[in-house]
Amino acid sequence: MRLVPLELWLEPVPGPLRPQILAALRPYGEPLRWAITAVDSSSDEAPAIEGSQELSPAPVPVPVVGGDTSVPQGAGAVGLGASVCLGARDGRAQADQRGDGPGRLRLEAVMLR
Amino acid sequence: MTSAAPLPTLLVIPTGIGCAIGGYAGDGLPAARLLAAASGCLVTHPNVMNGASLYWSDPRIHYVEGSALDRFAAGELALRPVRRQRLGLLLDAGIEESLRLRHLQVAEGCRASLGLEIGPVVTTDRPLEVSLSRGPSGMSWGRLGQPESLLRAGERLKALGATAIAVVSRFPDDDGSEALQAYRQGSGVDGLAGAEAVISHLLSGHLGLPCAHAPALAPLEPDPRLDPRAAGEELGYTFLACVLVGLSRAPDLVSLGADLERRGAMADPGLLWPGAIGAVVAPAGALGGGPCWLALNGVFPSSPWLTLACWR
Repeated sequence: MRLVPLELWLEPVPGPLRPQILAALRPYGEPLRWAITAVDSSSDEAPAIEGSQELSPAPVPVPVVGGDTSVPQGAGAVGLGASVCLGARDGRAQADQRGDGPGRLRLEAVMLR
Repeated sequence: MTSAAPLPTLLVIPTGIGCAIGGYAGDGLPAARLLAAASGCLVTHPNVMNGASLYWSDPRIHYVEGSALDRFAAGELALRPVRRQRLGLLLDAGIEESLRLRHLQVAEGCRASLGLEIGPVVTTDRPLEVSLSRGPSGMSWGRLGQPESLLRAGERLKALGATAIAVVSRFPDDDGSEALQAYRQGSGVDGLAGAEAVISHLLSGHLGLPCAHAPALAPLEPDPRLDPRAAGEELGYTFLACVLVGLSRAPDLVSLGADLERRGAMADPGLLWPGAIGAVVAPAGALGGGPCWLALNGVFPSSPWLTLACWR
């Protein structure tokens, strides 16, 4: 049994999102913790699941933004229909999407294998 | 004059992503208390309620571990409020003797002063080997070198009669990293929280019991620039008291997975059903987890007037 961090990009299709997320994660094990942490609305030709990557267990320094050590982008993505705003600490809108749904979603997860 | 019926409300403040409210040491508590008073019934999770040595007990607040909260929101669990739980204490074999003694004395203090029922104490058969990391977004993550040992200890506690489990595992000490300083000064991410979530998710999912986690750490040097939101963690030698208090009245987790289970649950008038939830509240910018997406996508098994509220 191992715990494996995972980053995965998902292009959702219309319909309930949670089953799509769980289906996308399933090949990598059982998700212990997952969240959508970014939305990339620039791509319109990504496959359903574009790619995934197991992440290094080594600590990653948090970038310093404006003198603050903060979550830089998208830790906790907000999807409210046509508007997507990213950024956990200040809620600034860092990406806007207009259209019929979110673009590619970045999932961060810890998987149990 | 009659009061309005409770509006069961779900408060979700994701762990380890740097939320300005609720991202530190129990600093989501004032919001939780306000929502509990306004709604009459609040379901929330340990990250909101745990302030290390600080806590608040309110019968209107239901303390539900994060993965159980996800399953509740997905309609897979109902909650059964109880008067008390019999708490099992699960200690990591990697905790050194003096720190272990501190934790045992906190448990004894909670038994003696608060009247909590703290039952069996089990130590893992191997050190759990917790390591900390960050995800691409900066959210805190963690790993466990010996997950099977955690589960074996949890199974022993359950067999010994524990109905809820407080886990204490030895976390790596931080000798003053920039990230820790930022957190203590109110501008950073809780670097421990992601690993804590993984541990409690793993154990609660495996056992089907309420679980919550406290990290065991050596005390830090005082910081004159400490942010008040992080101050709850400076008051003592452990983070265990809030976990024991929270779990002491955590609702039972009632599986709704099989038809038989669902029929049995429907006969229980005391259950809080996911379909009763009328509002979901979360910080703006932190809606990327399961319960919020369920609400946003209209698949939350709730009444049609479900409201999703955010604060900035």
